[in-house]
Amino acid sequence: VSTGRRGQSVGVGLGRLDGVLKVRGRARYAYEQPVPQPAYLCPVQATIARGTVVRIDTGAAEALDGVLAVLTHLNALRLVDTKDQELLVLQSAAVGFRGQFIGAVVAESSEIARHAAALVEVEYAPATHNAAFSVGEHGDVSLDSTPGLPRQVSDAEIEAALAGEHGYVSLESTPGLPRQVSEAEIKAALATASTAVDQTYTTPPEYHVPMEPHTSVAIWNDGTLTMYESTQGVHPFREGFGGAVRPGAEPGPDHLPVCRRRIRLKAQGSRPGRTRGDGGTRTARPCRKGCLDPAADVLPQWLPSTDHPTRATRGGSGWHTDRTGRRRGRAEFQNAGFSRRSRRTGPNDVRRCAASDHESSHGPRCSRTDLDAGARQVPWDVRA
Amino acid sequence: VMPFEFLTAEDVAGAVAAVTEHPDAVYLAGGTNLVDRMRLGVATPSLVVDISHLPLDQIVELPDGTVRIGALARNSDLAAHLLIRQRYPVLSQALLAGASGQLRNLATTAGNLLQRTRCVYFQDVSMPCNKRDLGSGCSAREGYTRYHAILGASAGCVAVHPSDMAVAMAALDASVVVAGRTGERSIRLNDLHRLPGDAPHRDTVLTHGELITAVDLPPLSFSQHSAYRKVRDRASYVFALISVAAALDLSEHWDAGGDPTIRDVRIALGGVAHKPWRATAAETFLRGAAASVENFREAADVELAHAEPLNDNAFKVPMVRNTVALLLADLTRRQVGAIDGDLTGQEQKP
Repeated sequence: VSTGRRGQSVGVGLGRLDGVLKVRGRARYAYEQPVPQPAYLCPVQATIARGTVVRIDTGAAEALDGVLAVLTHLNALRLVDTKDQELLVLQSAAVGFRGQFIGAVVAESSEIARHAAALVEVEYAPATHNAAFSVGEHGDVSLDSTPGLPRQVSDAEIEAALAGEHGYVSLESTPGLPRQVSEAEIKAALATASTAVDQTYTTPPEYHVPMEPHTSVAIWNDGTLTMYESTQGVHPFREGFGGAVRPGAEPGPDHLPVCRRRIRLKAQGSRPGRTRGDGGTRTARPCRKGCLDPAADVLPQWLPSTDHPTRATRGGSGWHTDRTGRRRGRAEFQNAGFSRRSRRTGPNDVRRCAASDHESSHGPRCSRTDLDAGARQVPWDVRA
Repeated sequence: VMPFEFLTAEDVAGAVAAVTEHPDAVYLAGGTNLVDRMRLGVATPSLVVDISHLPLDQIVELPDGTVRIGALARNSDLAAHLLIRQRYPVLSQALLAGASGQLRNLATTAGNLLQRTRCVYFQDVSMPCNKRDLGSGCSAREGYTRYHAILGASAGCVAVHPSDMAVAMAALDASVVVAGRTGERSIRLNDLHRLPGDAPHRDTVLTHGELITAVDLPPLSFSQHSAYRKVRDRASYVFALISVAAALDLSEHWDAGGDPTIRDVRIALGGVAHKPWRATAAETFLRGAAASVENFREAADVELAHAEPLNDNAFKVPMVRNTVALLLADLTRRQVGAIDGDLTGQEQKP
């Protein structure tokens, strides 16, 4: 939004900087940013819910013509700031949820990257996962499934807890907020009401799936990383991501992960840069030391198959009960209902619930695009 | 996508020969399902034989009244065809209930019949699935089964056939014309798709290399009194929870005050089994019976007597019962203007 002078934005009609482009259909998605001769990245995703990667064989992928690098936790860029868990990609062998990125292939074309990603062989040491609802001390149902927390309970127990004296449902027990009305209290009030409306509303599973393919464009150039991201929170993301990669992010043989390719490139003999006429692909130029050109642009491509595991969905299939009791012609209490999210919210959510260790409580670790199409495409720079 | 060879077929015989010779070759027509599966790694053919340009897209009436639909007739074109809309409204409605406009513009008739299940475990190569990898096990059995079968499933597979169009064709007693290495044969649509049994990796009785070249709709005197109803989780662009295709033939005369008698009826169910489910038991029950809501419900119950719902889909049993009754009541009302029985008190529990 273009604001006027500082302090004069309240009550003033404001135009969006990208508004004209958007209404004309000319605003670009992250993937559409013009980048000369990009490389393409395709993720390798975990197929277990929880555990450790004990072996990851990238040989077949690396041998494929057109593959520039295969990234894993063994060779990826180390982050200097690990506070933001969402950014802890390829930082350890630990698998925390199904669909987690455990590797990535960088290649000359999207097709080669995808093919090579499928050739990466992974061996896991799976661990037990916990993905069921738990009941807290006060009978509240929690989505939290962190090991160590109270035992899991059955649906029947949840219903019993709800029907009890202090039974109430809360997605979050916020300290300081008043206790919600219990089922017993609702029943008692309804029993003495002269008229009562008791209606349950349900919603089908609904997902907000962004129109934009899950992509980012990363451009390393002279110590600057420019990223095109499909995020709504440009500034928070810049702070978080910039902090995590700085100062170790400076492109160079010791830090840029693709420099692991140095050995292989040397063995093949450094080739001068070559450019294909089709303009759609790029062969990264080996630099003097044999590593990839630090200016190589990488287009990580989020595929449809990566969509759900990497993005928080707001599943529907919940229900909400409205109950209104009236006595002596006036409302005694209204809308003393409760709502609760279904434990099963749709195919993908269920799969995630069944397979995920910590997504259900914290949201997916890699979620960067669970935001509406508000303000996209604002490039931002990180000074290394 | 794994690398594959691509061949453009010059004619049906050439296409059949090319695919028959390669053990893992496939035909490409509209590509709306195959290409998805290739991208997901579910299909990994080494040879793709493109037949999309072959002249198999005509919809014509044969001298005996049969309507012959070319295998490559697009779903949109078939749904909009005057002959289909007038004579087989159930088919037109079923087509329009499926997918989206864009997909229907690409998807072909035979491709629709041969599309594969959308069981989430079948489509996820990291999960065990007997249909994709025979012997690896069935993830759905203990997993998410809202969209799965209640009839005719096996221990090894509880997937359903996803097509709407095929359900209407099953009710209309269609047959498919199949070209093979040794010539042509005709298969009743109701015999084309299989129940999973212990070979869930096989959706149909076709042998490798056989190519559907046309679908025949035989003349049916009451096919204009037909309709399709699809019940789903949202109003469009989603597969059926259950669906019903029906055609109803009522006696021309009935006593004033009484119910008309059912001369003939066709019922097929979608979203309930590994194949479009022709409800022959319900049909037998209704032939000669009075067209009442009570009888419609009872007929559905006869068909559902052997239903075996899974963890998440017990709702399908009353849903089928109610939808069969509603659809047949609608068809009755359209023909006679009224129907005996109360449709408001739908049962909610199985």
